[in-house]
Amino acid sequence: MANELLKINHIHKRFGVTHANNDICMSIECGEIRSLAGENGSGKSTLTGIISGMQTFDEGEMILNGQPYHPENSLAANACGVAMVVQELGVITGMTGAMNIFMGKTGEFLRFGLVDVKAMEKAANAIFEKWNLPKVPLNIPCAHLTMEQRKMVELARALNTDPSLLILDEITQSLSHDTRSVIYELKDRFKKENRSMIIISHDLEETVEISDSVTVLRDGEAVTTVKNNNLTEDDLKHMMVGRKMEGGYLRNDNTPSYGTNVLLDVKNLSLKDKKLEDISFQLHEGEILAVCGLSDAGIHTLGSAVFGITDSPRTGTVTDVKTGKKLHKPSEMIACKGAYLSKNRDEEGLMMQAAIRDNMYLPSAGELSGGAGFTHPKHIDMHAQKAYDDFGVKATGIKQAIGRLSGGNKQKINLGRWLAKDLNYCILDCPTRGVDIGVKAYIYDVLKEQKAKGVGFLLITDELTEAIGMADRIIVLRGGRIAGEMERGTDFSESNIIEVMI
Amino acid sequence: MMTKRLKSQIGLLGGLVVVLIICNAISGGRLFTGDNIRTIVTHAVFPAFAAWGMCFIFSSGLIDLSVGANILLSANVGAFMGCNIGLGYAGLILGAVICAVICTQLSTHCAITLGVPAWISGLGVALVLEAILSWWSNMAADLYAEKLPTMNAYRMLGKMPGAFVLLLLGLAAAYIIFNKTTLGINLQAVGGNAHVAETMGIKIRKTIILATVVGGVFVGFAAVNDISFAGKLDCTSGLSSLNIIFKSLAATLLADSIANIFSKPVGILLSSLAVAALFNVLTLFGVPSGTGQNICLGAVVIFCGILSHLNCREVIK
Repeated sequence: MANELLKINHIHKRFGVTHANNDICMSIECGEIRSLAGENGSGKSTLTGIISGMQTFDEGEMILNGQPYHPENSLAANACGVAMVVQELGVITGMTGAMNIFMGKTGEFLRFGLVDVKAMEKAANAIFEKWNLPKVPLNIPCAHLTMEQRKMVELARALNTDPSLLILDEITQSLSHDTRSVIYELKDRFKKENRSMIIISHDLEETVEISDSVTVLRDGEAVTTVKNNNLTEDDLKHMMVGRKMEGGYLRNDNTPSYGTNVLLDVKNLSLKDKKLEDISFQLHEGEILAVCGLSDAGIHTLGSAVFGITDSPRTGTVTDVKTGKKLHKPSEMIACKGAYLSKNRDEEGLMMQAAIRDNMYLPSAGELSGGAGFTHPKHIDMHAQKAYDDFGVKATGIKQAIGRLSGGNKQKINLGRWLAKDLNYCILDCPTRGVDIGVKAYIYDVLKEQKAKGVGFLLITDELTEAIGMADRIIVLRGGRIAGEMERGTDFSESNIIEVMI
Repeated sequence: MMTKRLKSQIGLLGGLVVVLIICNAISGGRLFTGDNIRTIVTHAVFPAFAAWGMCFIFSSGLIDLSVGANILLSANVGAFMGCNIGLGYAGLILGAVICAVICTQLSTHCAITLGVPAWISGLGVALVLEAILSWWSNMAADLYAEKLPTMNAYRMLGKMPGAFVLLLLGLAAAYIIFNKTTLGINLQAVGGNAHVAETMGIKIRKTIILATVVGGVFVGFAAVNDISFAGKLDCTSGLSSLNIIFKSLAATLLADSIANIFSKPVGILLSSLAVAALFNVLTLFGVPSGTGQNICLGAVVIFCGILSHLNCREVIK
């Protein structure tokens, strides 16, 4: 086909006994926006890794623009017009944005043997202008940039190769609602310029909305590719998990349901750097209290500040109402049967080099230790095995290192190890970020189950559907302050929330 | 308009000056005499060069603790070539630099080729280098009736103004190589996250080897300065060569902690001056050099280590 950009024929990729990509066939046309959908571990990232040259395939062939295409590394892929923004990479915080963009290509700016840093910064700014990306200071170390600005640097790094095929692996998951529009505009421009995109997103609503076609992967196989003609989320869910799965994984009641006992009382919480100002709320027994806001609203800062991790001095009080204790640091909240799940699971939540067993054991170390502080290895194994079974983790066993697991399984362990304890309340910062619909449904089920037992949840989320679907109450932050509060069954709607957000 | 970075730079330097002014007042004006300032600068040259060397080696991810033994051996090789063979300053510099580069490469290849963790291979190499120095010391005693070569005729690079010129040249070289060359920028990328760097097409092994060669050159100049300053260095054993790099280690860690304010090579110069000033002040205050000052040195290393990890972040996903 003259219009065909990339054709993939019978690609196989194995990692030991795992057949990550099994006889994948698909083709992408010029100007097409293709989404890849599938549960965690279905082989999406392996496939995009192969296309972008980050991995090689074992069997099969790829044809790009009518020519055999077998990139040995990402630079070779870039040279052929294929670039990728990978969820697992990132920016190097000690280097400036400009250096990050031209990493490995600084030779282009050599003058008399020295790198012309000013020219590099100018060229980096030109990329932002060319692709209409929001302004980011590119002459300071990336350590000073926000998460979203860093993602824009990564995007600019990929766009710098002037790709005819751009692959975005879960980039929108790291962006707030307002910044996602940048990606949508980029998508429109790509179509207009007859360039193509492959997008991986666990937000099915987004997938359906932005793509021309969707390839569904399941257990390493491409089960189908469908044109987006009135495709619905439910159709997609069905195709992904291989069974009928309608929207019922969220709550279907329309009234708030929680106890009268207050578990956690936050009063006049502020940070000296003004990222949070005068925040007050109460979390009740069996309540799911969602927190929403735009990217700079401070919702994620709120979670860590309530837990007691702050970059800036905190004022106000966080009180565990059952014990009456004022909580200042994480150990105090944990002692009061509280917990916190960071949004940044891989860096702040889990020990990536350690085994599942050790990650499971850590929060329960106190309970499992004997009188003299000795913990019997058998008890640790039993505890880990029980949580492993209860939460349906898919791995070779509790001794497997956690780093090689899919995002969904990592999150099951991250959440499961806390819920295996007898918790009173838990702060969850984007608990379903980067997990597929199956794991998402599972997490919601667990939350509903724990809610019924009286556990209170502070659910910080970037997804309004999640907040509306799960929460009893929603508080909306704007500029670090509470801009509004809503209760289930009264004014829960995306438009109402967005109106307060902006 | 003044940038945030510039404000931080002014604030940090201002704070350092205020502390020194207070120390000067307490010491009865003895800190800011011309002679004393020259002493401080002279004492900052060696730690600065060793720390620049460490900066290039450590930034590649190799924590090589053989630098101290490397300096001692290289200094003696330089002195031997300069004095005993009669090649003068050229022999001194070439001997020390070539020996330092070879020793650094030995340690580097133990780590990256054999896959031994760098701190372990570094300690192993340090023991080997100390043993070579000891063996050579005995041999020199037989040959020259003196245990190790002396440098009495070639001490210009250990005194003012030679040491100061050496310091300025070292700063310029370190700054340019670290910030303005492809090697330096690639090194920062490899040190930040080798996986990202590799994905971006940077050759990790080549970058590490080249960076450690550059590090070795700085270590060689540290050796030149050290033996020019002291005239003669003894051999050590049992890893006591580690003692001589503690000030440099403190300077490296301190420079790390202010890396967002000052580029590392500049941070190292400032840190070396600050550490030298600290010891000068301690001496002026009568703190015993053998015990009290070592306690302070240990405290400074720990303090710098804490500071350098306060904002420890690598790749952000």
